[in-house]
Amino acid sequence: MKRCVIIGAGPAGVTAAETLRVFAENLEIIMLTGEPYPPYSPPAMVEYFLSGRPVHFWKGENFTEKLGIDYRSNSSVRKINPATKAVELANGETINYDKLLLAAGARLYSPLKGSDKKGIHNFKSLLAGEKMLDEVRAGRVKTSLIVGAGFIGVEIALLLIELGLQVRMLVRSRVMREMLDPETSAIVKGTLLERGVEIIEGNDADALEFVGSKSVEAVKMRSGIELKADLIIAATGLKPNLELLKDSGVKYDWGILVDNYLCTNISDIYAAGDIAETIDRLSGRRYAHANYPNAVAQGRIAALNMLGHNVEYTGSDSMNSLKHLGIPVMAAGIMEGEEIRIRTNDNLRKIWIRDGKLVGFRLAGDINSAGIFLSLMRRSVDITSLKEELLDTRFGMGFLIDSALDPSRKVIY
Amino acid sequence: MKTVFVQPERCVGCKQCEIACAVEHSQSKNLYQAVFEKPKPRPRVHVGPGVYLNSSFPNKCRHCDPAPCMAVCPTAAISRTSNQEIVLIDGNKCISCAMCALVCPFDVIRYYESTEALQDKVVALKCDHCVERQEKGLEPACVEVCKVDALLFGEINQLTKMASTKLARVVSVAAASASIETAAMPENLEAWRSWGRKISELNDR
Ligand SMILES: Cc1cc2nc3c(=O)[nH]c(=O)nc-3n(C[C@H](O)[C@H](O)[C@H](O)COP(=O)(O)OP(=O)(O)OC[C@H]3O[C@@H](n4cnc5c(N)ncnc54)[C@H](O)[C@@H]3O)c2cc1C
Ligand code: SF4
Ligand code: SF4
Repeated sequence: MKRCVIIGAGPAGVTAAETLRVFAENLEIIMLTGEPYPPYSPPAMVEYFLSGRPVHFWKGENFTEKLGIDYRSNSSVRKINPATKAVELANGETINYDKLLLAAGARLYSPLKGSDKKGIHNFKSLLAGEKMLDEVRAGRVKTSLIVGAGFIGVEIALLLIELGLQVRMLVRSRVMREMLDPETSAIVKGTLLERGVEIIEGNDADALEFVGSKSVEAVKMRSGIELKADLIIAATGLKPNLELLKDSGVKYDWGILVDNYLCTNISDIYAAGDIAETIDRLSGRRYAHANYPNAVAQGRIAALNMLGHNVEYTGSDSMNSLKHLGIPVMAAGIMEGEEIRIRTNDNLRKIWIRDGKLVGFRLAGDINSAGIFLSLMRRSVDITSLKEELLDTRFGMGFLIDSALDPSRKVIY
Repeated sequence: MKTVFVQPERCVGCKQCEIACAVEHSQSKNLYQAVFEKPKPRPRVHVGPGVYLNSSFPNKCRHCDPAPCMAVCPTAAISRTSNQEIVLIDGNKCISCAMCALVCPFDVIRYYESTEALQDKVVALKCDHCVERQEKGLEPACVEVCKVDALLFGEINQLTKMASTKLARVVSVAAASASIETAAMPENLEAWRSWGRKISELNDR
């Protein structure tokens, strides 16, 4: 392999490039991104917009230069052609590759009518975020309306409240329904309300359509009522960036399909990060896991395999942690099986157990021991004899040390 | 490689290590001034209870290699020192996303205000292996202050070799593969331990 082309400069693409460079000093690495910035880390965008500190350029602004990567910003890929081993840029330029990594991430997915209207904002990329913030900084907007209350919707709400806007959220069912159980979800909702976010929820609040003559002016709900706002933001979901794969022969379903080595159905083409569908370590189900740790792990494994090292990907973790809320909220694994919980005020610890194994947890307020829970979960440790202690607010490493020593328990951590 | 080795069977739960750690990481490095400082200095070693009445465990960062926390930090706030021995968190880069706390299998990361961070912002805090003290040839503050040798500092290979009980295997990452020799515990500690167990047993009845 002489030349490796990476499409995408997010955590997956960047980690792949770093890994390639460690193992192949002289490899030509070309990294393409449609955006005009150095590589950035999306989780740090809110902090950047709040404080102005460029924490989102997490590897440093001249990182690609230092690593000897041929970095091409403003280079959106339109098409790939596996037959000629070439990618085609939006400006018509073609670039050949020996190995190709697809790491173009995901974009906003909006099933609402009128989603192509001008002026609908989103927060799925720095480009989109800067556009939104331009409106705020210029003082053109006072009121905002966010459609959707998933992880990103909640982040946007917290950002805009902090920036002094009036914020309304349209929620079809409940806040962060996919990630959180009803009880934890209610804690998040309560905190959002406390912070001044107005939440409009229920079946009637189901957003159906973006309306407006030239550009978007309002959102129409199932009830027929149209809500207006200066700034309208869609946070309705994610969809892998697959447009560039049209007619390429690369197989995909919701995301790109890969084998255990993160290789697509075409040898020499790999995929990593939000664009790919991978197996969940715990449930065995295949889906596009949108989180930073998975993107990084996949970028690394894909790079090693591109170099011919044959390293298997052991699976993705479904986990996340909500920031900027004021109280910590964490979610990992599934919400199936026996549920055990302990709650004092806004401190909630919920754990799901199946066949003697910890398979999921949701924490709010008190997040101590989160890492222990995750470790017990990932390694499928039998926790039958620990069940009571898992709900002890003082639970921690000390409990495990004793349990490991005691022959009647034999929980080896 | 040098490390802090924990002998939990010796820990009496006095929490002197916590105090020494907080003072070491204060601005004044003086207990009486430290208590009035803002932000309040915090310990990065945490003495947690065990299952038995008087068992306890001083828990701190193992400076894992590879370090799970480092792999998931979305701002690259977590890094390794150039000699590879210490994992450090830069509070100035931290955005408190808590991904590191979620993946740390030893549960050693806590969130507090820090002199490294902007005012009123809580950030991830954990043991830095007293990197400043080590540069001066000193051992970590928690080790220095521990009266019962529950915390030892030294070359990891030597320490694991003299590890005294099965227990040690569980609490030290790198020690898992080392051979374990038995060394006697002081009588007074042994007595203290068995007293706690007895009481716990009685309570369970
Ligand atoms: C606001 C926000 C907050 C988040 N917070 C967290 C968090 O706290 N913890 C966490 O674990 N995860 C978080 N995530 C999710 C995390 O950011 C993603 O899972 C991760 O960025 C995925 O990395 P990636 O490299 O696969 O894709 P991305 O980071 O999306 O990068 C995709 C790259 O591909 C480029 N690209 C796209 N299309 C093309 C094209 N046609 N041609 C060329 N280049 C293209 C883009 O410009 C970009 O450089 C957050 C996401 C957002 C949006
Ligand atoms: S914080 Fe936890 S994961 Fe990170 S090096 Fe320390 S013990 Fe290991
Ligand atoms: S909490 Fe701070 S140090 Fe930990 S992963 Fe997030 S940004 Fe990094």
